[in-house]
Amino acid sequence: MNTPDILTVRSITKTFASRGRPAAKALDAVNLSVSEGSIAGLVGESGSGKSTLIRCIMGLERPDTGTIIFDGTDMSVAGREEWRKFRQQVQLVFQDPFSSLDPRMTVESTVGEGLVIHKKSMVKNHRRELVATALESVGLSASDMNRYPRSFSGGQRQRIAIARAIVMRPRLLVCDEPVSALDVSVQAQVINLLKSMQAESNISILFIAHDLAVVRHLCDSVSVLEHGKIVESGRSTEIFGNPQADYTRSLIAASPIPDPAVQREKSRSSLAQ
Amino acid sequence: MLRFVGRRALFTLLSLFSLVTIVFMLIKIIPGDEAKVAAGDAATPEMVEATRVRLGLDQPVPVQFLAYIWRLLHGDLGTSTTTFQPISTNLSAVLPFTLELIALAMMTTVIVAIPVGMLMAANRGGPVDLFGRVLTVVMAGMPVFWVGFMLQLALSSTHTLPISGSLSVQYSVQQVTGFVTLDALLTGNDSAFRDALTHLVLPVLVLATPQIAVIIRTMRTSLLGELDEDYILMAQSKGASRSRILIRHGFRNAAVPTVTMIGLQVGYMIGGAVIVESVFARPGVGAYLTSSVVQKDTFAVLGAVLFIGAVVLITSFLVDMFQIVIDPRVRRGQLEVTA
Amino acid sequence: MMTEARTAALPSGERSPATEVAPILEVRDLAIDTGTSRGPMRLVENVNLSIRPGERLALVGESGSGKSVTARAIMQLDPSMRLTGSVRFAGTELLGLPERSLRSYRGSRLSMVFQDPLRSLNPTMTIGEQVAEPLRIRGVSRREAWRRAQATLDQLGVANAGHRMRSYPFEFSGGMRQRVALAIALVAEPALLIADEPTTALDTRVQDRVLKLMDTIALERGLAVILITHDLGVVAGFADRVAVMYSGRLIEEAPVDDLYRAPKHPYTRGLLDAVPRLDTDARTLAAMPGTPVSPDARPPGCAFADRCPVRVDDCLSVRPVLLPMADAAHAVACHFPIERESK
Ligand SMILES: Nc1ncnc2c1ncn2[C@@H]1O[C@H](COP(=O)(O)OP(=O)(O)OP(=O)(O)O)[C@@H](O)[C@H]1O
Ligand SMILES: Nc1ncnc2c1ncn2[C@@H]1O[C@H](COP(=O)(O)OP(=O)(O)O)[C@@H](O)[C@H]1O
Ligand code: SF4
Ligand SMILES: [Mg+2]
Ligand SMILES: [Mg+2]
Repeated sequence: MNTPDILTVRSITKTFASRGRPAAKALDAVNLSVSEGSIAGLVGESGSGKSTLIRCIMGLERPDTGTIIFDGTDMSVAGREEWRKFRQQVQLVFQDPFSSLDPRMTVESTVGEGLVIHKKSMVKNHRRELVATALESVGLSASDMNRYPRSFSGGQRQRIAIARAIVMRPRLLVCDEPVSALDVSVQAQVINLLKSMQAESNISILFIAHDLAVVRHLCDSVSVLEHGKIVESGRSTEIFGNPQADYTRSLIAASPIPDPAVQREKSRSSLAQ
Repeated sequence: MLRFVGRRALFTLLSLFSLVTIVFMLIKIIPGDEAKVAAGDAATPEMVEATRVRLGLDQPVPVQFLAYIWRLLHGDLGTSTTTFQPISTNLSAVLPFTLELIALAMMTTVIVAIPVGMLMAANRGGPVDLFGRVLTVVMAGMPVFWVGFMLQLALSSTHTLPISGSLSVQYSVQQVTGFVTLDALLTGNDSAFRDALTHLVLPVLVLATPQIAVIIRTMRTSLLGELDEDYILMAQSKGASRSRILIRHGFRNAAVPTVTMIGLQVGYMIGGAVIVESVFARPGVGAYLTSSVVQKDTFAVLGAVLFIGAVVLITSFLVDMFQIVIDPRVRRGQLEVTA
Repeated sequence: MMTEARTAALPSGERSPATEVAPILEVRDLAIDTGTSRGPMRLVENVNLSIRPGERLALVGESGSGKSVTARAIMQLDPSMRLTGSVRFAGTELLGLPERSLRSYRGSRLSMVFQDPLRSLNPTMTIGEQVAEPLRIRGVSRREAWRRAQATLDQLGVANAGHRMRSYPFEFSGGMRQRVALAIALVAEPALLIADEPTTALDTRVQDRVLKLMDTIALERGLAVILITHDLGVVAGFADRVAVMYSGRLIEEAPVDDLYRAPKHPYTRGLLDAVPRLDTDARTLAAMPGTPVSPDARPPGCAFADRCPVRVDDCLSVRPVLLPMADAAHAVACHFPIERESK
């Protein structure tokens, strides 16, 4: 790995104190890196701390200890200008394509919102052009600009959410379970879209998911999170080919394979053990 | 559990204290001279001054306040500056009327609104539901005093129901508890009991009408919300009957928001009682409070306010207790906080 | 292990889930209509299903394809739906049966589990009360119902069941709640269990455990299961036969091995090609373009026509019906079923 890291998460710890109960460690000395132009996966079961990590990375939550380094800048000591750059170059896509879009905003204003905020001087026509290009690059059409989110399917809404992110020409896209709420056929469309974006524009992606098959399919590297701790990380092919941590192995063993013969074989060997 | 009750008691006391403080200050701000009122119209300036000293009104306000609190802590509500009787005596003469009115109105509300709300939810979209919805809108929109006057007008010529007072002149009831209906019943005075009840019919109706509408709507909406939950489908697929689903499953869960609403309504109801008492010329805290404010009878006002505050706080305590009993999540939350 | 072991438990002891045993459930030509603000709407039509004792049938399809509606119709849980056709359970026609008689089937011979294990349990009733309820409704004594509830929870691997029966749903994790839901469905020893996405809301490892439990219990009891899911991985590990739904219609039905090895409907093929697999490194998924048509926008012909790669013009107007292939176990609703390809 000689490409530089676009994002480095160094030893982040985050504790949530709640009244009456001992403080819970949501993240415990988490290290993670995304190298430039790659897709890094983060897998973990529900409650393992995936969303908390994202909130820390995005600066929405202040970690107890540790640092986030984006493009060589330590964000914990970053000034106003650096944060402005960060907000523009790092974009977020959420899990739920139904609640993450404002139902009263047209596709054009949803997708163009970031441009309005960050590039105030941009003329309207130019903005329209950029929005149209973004929509086309996610497989929607420029003629969809005046429609409202409710008239789109789940997969199309997720494309709108991705268009909203990439219109800013981000260098890093952070996706929190972007395909979990989607049907298989639509999920495949979104996965292929992310893959082709990486190939064509050299964008880096941090992809959060709980479905191992999706991660294996899409990601160059993977980190496995269990109860706030990274238990294993490395190249995708190595981790899925030769998992080291028991936790990773149990996750792999529990993931169903869409092939009756393989599944029968699996349950036979699990019985033999 | 004990600690929870302890916390609540402390909270109640603190709330009552703040209430008394605020009301005390408000009375002092309102223009008017208590000593003058107390001394009477004919009093000379010297007599007014003497009264002022006698009542301690020459002291600075904070001192007066502390003196009041000190007496309050010893169970002394003070003496009225207009009747010269202990406030507690005055209050205990009028409280039963108000309590009777509110309690009956609340009972009527619960007895009518809960089943009707459930019935409407069970027949969502049906004729009963539609009719009920129209009716509740009308009922909730009617102002208390206006309904009172209208009923009085309508009934004054027919003499079917008494339109004012609490008991007809020909009856007298020996005092046991102070609650006219209860005393009549206890002393075996049947005809007086019936007469007292008929005097309550209109005030209770007027007071309960808007409350019934509110509670019907709360009951209906929360039950409908519950009926849409998956656990209702689950109950259905267990083979549970419609009534079992409504009562054992839906009602139990819908009761939580409904009871909260009923608790909140008690406060409004006391406000309503003040108006109803004046419209129907009934004795009670309403009439007492109104006249005390007018006459700047500080301790009387404070006593009445303390009573109202106590009723509201006790209700909210009861509501919380009810939620703890019925909702395990609340129970757990409360016990955890206090543990 | 599953197929062999399961058939061994069947009365006939034959290899295939005995064709000679009468089906426990037989759905014929079921259509489901509902009223909407824009007038009546046909949600589901021409559904034919049959399942024998001890058999597992998977009902597969993407969201909105009509799986849950069909399940609820079999149980007749939604009075706002108008049902036509026939639903025969153990020889009795259920459609048109008065509510009272239906209730005697629900929860005792025919039961159901739902997707969201938090929402499908009553938040203010103890676990014990809820698991015992199907028995209590049928007049079983409190003690006996409690005892059997505890036994069922034990069997479903709820540790310390006797004690935990006094807890409430919010004190349980998602996986435990789904076990409780299963216990409710199984406590009265039904002959058929309809499980509507029972593991969709669960983590992978919890899903795996719950599926294994369902597998073991169904095996022990000779229970027939209709498993509703959109997850083709889950289906592969659990079902004997698969019925695929698309836009309110069945479009393919086959034994599980046949369906995965040689799907005949272009949609089924597309679905299988769109699922990423954990055991291979194949890098491109074949994504079907478009999305399913909603039931009120179905064309007169094939509902899949707008996305079908092999469509001809007539597909839009002539509706393909679900017909058995020469190999009678495999049925497909397509004018041009996929030929067996040589791989
Ligand atoms: N604001 C908060 N206060 C207290 N605890 C929190 C808070 N946010 C998260 N947690 C806890 O931190 C842990 C990690 O939560 P997080 O949302 O990051 O999980 P996740 O991996 O994203 O799960 P999922 O797959 O369900 O989205 C959980 O135990 C959660 O309950
Ligand atoms: N009560 C209802 N009234 C009107 N339409 C409904 C109703 N229930 C479900 N539908 C519609 O029927 C179709 C099938 O729904 P459903 O069976 O829930 O799908 P799934 O296959 O995801 O379980 C969907 O288009 C849904 O919107
Ligand atoms: S009937 Fe025609 S359109 Fe429909 S799936 Fe078959 S080939 Fe495609
Ligand atoms: Mg999350
Ligand atoms: Mg469904």
